[in-house]
Amino acid sequence: MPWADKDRMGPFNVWYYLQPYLTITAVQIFFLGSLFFLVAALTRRIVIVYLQGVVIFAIYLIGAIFVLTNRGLDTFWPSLFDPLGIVLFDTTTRYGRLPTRTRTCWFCPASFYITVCCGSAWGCLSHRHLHFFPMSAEQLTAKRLPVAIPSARLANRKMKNRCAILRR
Amino acid sequence: MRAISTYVYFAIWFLMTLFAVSATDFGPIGAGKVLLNGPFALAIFCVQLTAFGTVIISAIFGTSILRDFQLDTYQLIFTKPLSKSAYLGGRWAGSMVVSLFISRDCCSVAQLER
Repeated sequence: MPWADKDRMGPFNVWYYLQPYLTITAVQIFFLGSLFFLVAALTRRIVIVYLQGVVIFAIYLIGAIFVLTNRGLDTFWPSLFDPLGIVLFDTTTRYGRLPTRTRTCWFCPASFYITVCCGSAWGCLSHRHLHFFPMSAEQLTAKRLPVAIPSARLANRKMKNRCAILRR
Repeated sequence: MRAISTYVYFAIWFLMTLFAVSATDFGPIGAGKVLLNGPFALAIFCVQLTAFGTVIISAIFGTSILRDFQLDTYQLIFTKPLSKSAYLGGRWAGSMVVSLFISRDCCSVAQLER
């Protein structure tokens, strides 16, 4: 790009691009995607499908800002339970100096691997819960019946009342 | 892959990464001496863009299965002897591939930045 600041461009290295993509993005997509897919498959409602991402993002952002502005010295546990990795990334790279930041790839601490394991476990767990998905058209349509039955009963009752009034 | 929204999401992510690398004040790095296409900067872009992408991940994964129930195509699909793992796994894997394709443009920006 002609407007780019050439002084701040280093030599091109494919691994600089692939490493965060494989360690951060792919893991997050697996974890979040499995969770969202589970909720969508079991609820099958458009409002929930579109709102779940926004709600989780908002809750996460509030939590992340709370942790980051808190400036606590014990950063292990907040990093461990950070599903999207902003707090974890901030914790692990906070004290990195300039040469470290420009030459070495993102350092993956032990807590990162634990988070990845938790994320994968959550992803697999949500796949396990897909067991509850009813796999037949009859069952899927039958689910709507309990809503229809009371209204049918109500209509029956109204009819009976009307008949009774007419008989009088 | 025929949905226009996929390419719109791709374009948004592509442009955001492109400007974050090529324009100093656009991205989270800002002024300083840290290289804009260095590992630290690229990792930060990845983290923040994926966190923001939560909304889009939910839209892709959710609608992949919701479409069948909105358009009632599931009644046609279930007339065939289809296993649960094949149906749900196929939907899930398709969404996974599309999401990875959209977020892949962090890498494709590399050719344009210089």
